[in-house]
Amino acid sequence: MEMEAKVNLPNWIDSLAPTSVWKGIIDRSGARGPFPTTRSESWKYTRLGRIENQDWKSSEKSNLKLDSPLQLVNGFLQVNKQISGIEVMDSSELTVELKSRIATIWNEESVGDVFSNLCEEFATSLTAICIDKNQHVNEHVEINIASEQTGALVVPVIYILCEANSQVEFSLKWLNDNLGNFHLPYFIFDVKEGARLSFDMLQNAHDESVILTRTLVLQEANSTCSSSAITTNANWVRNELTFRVNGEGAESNLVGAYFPKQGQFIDNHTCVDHKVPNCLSNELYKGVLFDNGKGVFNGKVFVRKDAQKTIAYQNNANIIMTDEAQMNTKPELEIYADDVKCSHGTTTGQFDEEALFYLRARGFSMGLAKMLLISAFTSDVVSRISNEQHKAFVLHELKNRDLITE
Amino acid sequence: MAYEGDELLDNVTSKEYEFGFVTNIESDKAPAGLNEDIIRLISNKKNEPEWLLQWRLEAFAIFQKMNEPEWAHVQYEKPDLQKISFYAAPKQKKQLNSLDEIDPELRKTMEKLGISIEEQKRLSGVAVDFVMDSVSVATSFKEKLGELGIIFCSMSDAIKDYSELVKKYLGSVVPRTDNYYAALNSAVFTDGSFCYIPKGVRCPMELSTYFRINEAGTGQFERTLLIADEGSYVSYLEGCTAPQRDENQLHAAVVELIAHKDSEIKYSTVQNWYPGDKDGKGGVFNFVTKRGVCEGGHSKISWTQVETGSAVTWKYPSCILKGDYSIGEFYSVAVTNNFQQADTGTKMVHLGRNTKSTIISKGISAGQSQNSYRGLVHIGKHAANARNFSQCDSLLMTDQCGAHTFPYIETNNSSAKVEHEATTSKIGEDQIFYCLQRGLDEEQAVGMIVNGYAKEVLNKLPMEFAVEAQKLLAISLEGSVG
Repeated sequence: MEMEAKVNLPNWIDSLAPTSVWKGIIDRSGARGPFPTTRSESWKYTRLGRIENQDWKSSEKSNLKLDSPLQLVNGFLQVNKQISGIEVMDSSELTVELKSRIATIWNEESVGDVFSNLCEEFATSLTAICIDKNQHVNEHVEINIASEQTGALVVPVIYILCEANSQVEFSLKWLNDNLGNFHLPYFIFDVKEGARLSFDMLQNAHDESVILTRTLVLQEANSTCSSSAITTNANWVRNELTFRVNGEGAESNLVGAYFPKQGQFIDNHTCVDHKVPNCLSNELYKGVLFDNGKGVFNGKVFVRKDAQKTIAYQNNANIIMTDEAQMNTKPELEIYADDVKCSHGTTTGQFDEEALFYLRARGFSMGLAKMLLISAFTSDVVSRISNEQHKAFVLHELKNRDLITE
Repeated sequence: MAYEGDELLDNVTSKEYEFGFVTNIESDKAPAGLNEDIIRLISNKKNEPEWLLQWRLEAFAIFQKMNEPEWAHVQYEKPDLQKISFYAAPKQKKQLNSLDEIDPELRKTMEKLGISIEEQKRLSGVAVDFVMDSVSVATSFKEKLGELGIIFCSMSDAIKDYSELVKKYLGSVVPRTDNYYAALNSAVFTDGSFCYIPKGVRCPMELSTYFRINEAGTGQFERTLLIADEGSYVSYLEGCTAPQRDENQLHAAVVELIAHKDSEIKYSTVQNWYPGDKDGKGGVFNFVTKRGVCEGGHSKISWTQVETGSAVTWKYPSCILKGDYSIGEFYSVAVTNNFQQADTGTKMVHLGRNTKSTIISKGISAGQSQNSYRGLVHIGKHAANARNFSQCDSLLMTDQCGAHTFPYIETNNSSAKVEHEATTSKIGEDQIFYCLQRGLDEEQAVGMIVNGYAKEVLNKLPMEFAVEAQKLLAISLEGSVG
């Protein structure tokens, strides 16, 4: 890794002591930039009242122990069981090189809005997970996420370094006992040459939970990265996922599914930034909207001037189950190179009446028929989740949705 | 690439604007600047009733509270409104009964444009309301239309003669508060076309207006109002060419369409304002608000546009589908070359039940231009069984240009079916090779492929326009393969 001797470290790295409560946060961040409103393009369909109007507390350490090898409780990452091939370091253990690398990325990539300001001032923890060169991690790196407090702001920053030709699979799971907190995690995946990474996010959090994830994936040449983001339960969710493809021959796969119900709001903002030639990206997001659930999808594919021979696909499909549900989607293409193959598509609709009739004629109850069709609809997303547990969970969750009353 | 693509590209990009010329007609021009006095002056010059002056002044007050929008994917130097003269009228203002009475200078202009009025009259039965700068100087076929009860005249005449109709519909589709340029237009519009098709009448000919910016340093603020009453049908053509100019010219028109029950409006545009020279200097700013409302059930509004000109285009012909079973259509070909920038698309707002909309947008970018599609499909809560299909294709001719797609899809109803698809590609070497093999030269091959690519839209144009549109496509693009 090439190092610059003097990089200005953001001061949050060395001063991780959140003590202030939300009112203080609002006051202090307000001076540096207020909350975006729906007049701002990237927040057009996303209202922040849920976040603004609550008095969030600061997060504190907890003794809760979960059964996953790694856990993120109250925003502090803890190792319960060593997994061979990965090294976990908290902020006090970070090497100068790592600190410098994180600082460089942060300085370059920080969105600079109220939430990154929040992170800079009130980050709960900073953890680095490193996978050595050529290391293949055979075990799934599972991180369960929970909270023991209520109404707290939780801002963990996790930097994951996949060195050249390493291979690793992460899964991040928000547990249902995660009480009504505001989760604002930052994940930075630094994927070096030839490395293979997959990470699966499963958000099945508390009914009152507010989750805003910011995930950044930096991909070097010939690396492969696959992500999945499944949201089945939470009050308010926004997943911001950015892929920066910096090396030729890289492959990026993004899938996601969301199932908002009863007043829930789920927003997926993705951006694939093709900076170099000969890369492939493939994106597929699907949603089924129940009750008065609201969904937002905003996918952006950005092909820079030099990124010739890029192949980029993007697809978003939705089923709206009721007239109260709402879906706003905006699949964007911004293309500055001519020799590319890019396409995007989006559909919003409902069940095929004929398919429903076919199943009903064969004795399926309405609920079962709908469940079957929803499962079929989401199957191409679900089949691309690498974590088997997550897969099974989604199917189980869909089975348990009350579809007869729809 | 094996063949001399660059050379051909140079030939095309260095091609000067063919329709650039200035007609020397004396004109009556207001001093530059924008203030209440200017608005009073415009209103006074045009002998407008008091209510319209008040309406303009209110619009100006609204305008002053607004800021120029910045969300569009275009970059340009904002025009200084205080340097623009907001009123210019050709001095010659005699009432004309036949086209033969027109000033010979004007006649020449029309011929240069390739529009021989006699020929159009004879061959296609097109009534031409020729707008030279801001005041109409010729209206043909008026009598024939009059027999059917169709009103087709300049906005100034309509304000005088059909004040009630104008008062009822003006600003009903595009309110003065709609956007920055719509507010500006409402305050300072000088002329435009007015058309009213009475109940059950099928307009027997294509109505057509040729707009033309002619006076150096004047912006054009056209206002078009088209009303199709119950069960009527009209096809309206609008075409623009503009003389070559160094400074940027602002064109901020507003077009309002109202389709009542069972009526149909077909609105076609060929736009070829001066796009600036090959270094991106000069060119027209085209900030237009076009919107139609399908007021009654089973009504239909169809927009077809071929956009080849303007330095900066910012235009979203929209349909508000209010009536049950109403239909909105949008067919567009947008070509950008050199340093042109276009941010264009449509809005389909589904409010009524069983409404349908189709969007076909074809973007072609060459040179160092930026071409964006921006469209909204909104399905309201009560718009049961709404159906939308959108397709946006982009063709990239060089590695310097950009093609972008920003579709917004808002669905609030479970029975809606909304589809959107978009592709981006360049002309395949194999396609060119195929044509070359069959004895076409590269220029012809590209012309053919592009015309084929845009055919879906060009087919929707009335016969009279299709020829001109193909010519424009060829001028803008032929041979520009990278």
